[in-house]
Amino acid sequence: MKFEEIIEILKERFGEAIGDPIVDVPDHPHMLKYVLCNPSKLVEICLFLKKDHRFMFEHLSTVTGTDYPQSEEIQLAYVMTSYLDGGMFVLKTKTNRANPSIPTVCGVWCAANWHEREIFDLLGVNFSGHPDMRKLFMPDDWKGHPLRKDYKEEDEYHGMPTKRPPAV
Amino acid sequence: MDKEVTDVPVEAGLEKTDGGFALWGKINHLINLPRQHSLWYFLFSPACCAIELMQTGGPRTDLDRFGMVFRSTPRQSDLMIVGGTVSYKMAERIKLLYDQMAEPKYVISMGSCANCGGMFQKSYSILKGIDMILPVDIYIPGCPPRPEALANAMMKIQQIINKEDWLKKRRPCTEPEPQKGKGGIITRL
Repeated sequence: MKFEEIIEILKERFGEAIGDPIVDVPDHPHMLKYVLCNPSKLVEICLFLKKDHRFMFEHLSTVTGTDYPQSEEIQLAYVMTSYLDGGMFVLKTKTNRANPSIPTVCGVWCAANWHEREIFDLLGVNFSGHPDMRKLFMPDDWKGHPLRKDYKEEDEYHGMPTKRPPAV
Repeated sequence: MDKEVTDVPVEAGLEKTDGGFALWGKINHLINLPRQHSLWYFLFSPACCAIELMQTGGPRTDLDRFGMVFRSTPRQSDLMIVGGTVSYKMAERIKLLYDQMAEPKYVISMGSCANCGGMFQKSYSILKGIDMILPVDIYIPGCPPRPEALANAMMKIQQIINKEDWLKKRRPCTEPEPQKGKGGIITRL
């Protein structure tokens, strides 16, 4: 199914919760087409995309997050594929940067569990309703979220210096 | 082959006596000779240099001919080869494994990542060189180093062992403080 057709069906069903589709981004010719949605309707939209017989997006490829300090927001991209025709669809949503929180989609795709843990670890987004909200990669006592644009590295971790002295 | 290896002066010998044979030599040499030909290395490597480490044990460079075999526990190992990218999370485990090895012990830093962080030097989670936490004997450059380079480093370790005094304690078993930002080469050659 084509991207425009999916958007049409989604707009018909969810109306205001679906934003305008972003088809062409200047300077990024290979970027996938995507659509922004309202985070409060995220789980419903995902469930619809997965269960509806016209799309059957049963496979969640990845969930990624990006930090945008200028516009004070964090965007999340849910990339899903369908076993019907191999089609790919990107659904994006955004949350504020100061206190980021988004409902989890673990109930829709189990695969989202570790993807969301990774974003919680590296960007600090809190996924409400997640069954196991722990850090995935970094040590448990790690301070800060490294993929935030304003992240400052600390001088040492557990006595290990984080910078190498210049070569003599 | 390196010239130094062949130039070790002969300070030991075998002589025929009435009842059989007698072995003579300096005690340092007689002890160091079997030690350097039974160097057991720890079967451990945090990242992709491990592939070259496996290759070094394979038929072409065949470490078995030096009497070097791998051990799967730090308690039985003499040599630790840190081959690969070390994250802070892993660094603490490596320090623990190193402390579990019995004296005398040796460390080879294999590849750019273990030497200085390599291409992950700007990363937030990677230790910038294993010498921040362990004393390193030999550094091997390369990404990854070839098996020949690792075999050469093993022979350098043999040279270090050959020059050791058997009564002298090499280094304290555990270091009370991590070497903060020392990053220098510990040379015994």
